[in-house]
Amino acid sequence: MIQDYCKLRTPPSGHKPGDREPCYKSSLCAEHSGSCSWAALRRGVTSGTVGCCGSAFIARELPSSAGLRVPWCPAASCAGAVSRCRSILNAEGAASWVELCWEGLPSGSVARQGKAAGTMSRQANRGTESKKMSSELFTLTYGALVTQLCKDYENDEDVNKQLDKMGYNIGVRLIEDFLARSNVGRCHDFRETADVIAKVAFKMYLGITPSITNWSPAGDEFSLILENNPLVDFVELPDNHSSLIYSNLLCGVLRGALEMVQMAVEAKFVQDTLKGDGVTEIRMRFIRRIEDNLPAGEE
Amino acid sequence: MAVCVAVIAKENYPLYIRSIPTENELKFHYMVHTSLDVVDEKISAMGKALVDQRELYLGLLYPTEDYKVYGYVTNSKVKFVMVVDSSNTALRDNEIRSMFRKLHNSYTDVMCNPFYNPGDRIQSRAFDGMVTSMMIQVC
Repeated sequence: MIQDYCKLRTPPSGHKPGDREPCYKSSLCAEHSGSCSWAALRRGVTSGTVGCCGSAFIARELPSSAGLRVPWCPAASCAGAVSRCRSILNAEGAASWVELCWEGLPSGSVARQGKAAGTMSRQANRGTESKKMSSELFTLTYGALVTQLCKDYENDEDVNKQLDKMGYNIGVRLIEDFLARSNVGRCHDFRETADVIAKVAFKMYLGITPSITNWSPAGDEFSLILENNPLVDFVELPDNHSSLIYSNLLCGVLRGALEMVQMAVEAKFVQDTLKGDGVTEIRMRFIRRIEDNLPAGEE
Repeated sequence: MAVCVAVIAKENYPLYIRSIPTENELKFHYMVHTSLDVVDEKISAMGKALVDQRELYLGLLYPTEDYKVYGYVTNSKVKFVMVVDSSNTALRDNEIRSMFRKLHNSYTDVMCNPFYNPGDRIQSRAFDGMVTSMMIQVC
């Protein structure tokens, strides 16, 4: 039954259609009933200026909702129906929401529950929004860092050591963020660790998925092959820095992160595209399990 | 087919200049040097006009009996000068424009190299490779 407002619950008594009351019901609608975009849709209006974040809404049909048209916020920062667009939800600090994924339509529309509690919701937002940061800025920043180190130390070996140390410091902190965002469980053996590093960690932070090859017979060494390394876009090593390991920071990160989960490993570059090889290859070797820091009570 | 490609810095000194065949290099250096005057004239003629993509390309600077010289200036006043063989009449304006665009893209890649200091001569292998491909591509 078409009503003037879209509420899906009974209004309080005395309420008449057309009254300007907040449109109740849905977690999908938070606007005044008279101007509610859901109501407008039902009246046949397919677009209008009633918007959550100030944008005009447009009517979209969600494939998953069998013909139901929802008022959609076309703003770039928005990813949901007008009344509950992410901009509003973030501002309200919502703990859960229904995220309607617009990308990939018409075939890939997905309505999923964006369940998050407390600070995790902030992290989840950060996770999806950080994809939009410019990778060029990241590459240029890393390049500036390496060249400044070269000028300061003037000796390639020292620079390599410094990069490794810096990477180590990053790694011991990054592992916490990684474990919080990825929710992977404890790895049972080194092979699982290798898989997690390549498929989850590298994907999450650098957006690439290296492949794992060259397992040693004892199963304690493997190679990560990176076809393209985002740190070295545009970089060409000059001849006077031929022994510089430009991406040594990555080795330090791997070493530091794994040390925090009780694994002592060694990571080094065996092939580097900057030096003329076809791919970049990092050799990881498992040294031993770190047992010292179990608290006394657990033994 | 480009016989000479030059990249001139804002202060009018060459960052990169390469020509084939390599015998008469001095002649090409001289041609590029004289073309700088024409470039400056064209830039000042534009005055305060908004610089958009079209105006980065300056077009034919001047023709000689054997060669034609084309120019392109970036927003940072770095100039690209290209000398092509006059006998090669098949080269149309669009092709010259696309060659300049490729040059510009390679130049920005060189600039992004953290080991390159702006103002140095360009010694990048990738840039060399791209210029070589431009010089021998259309024969």
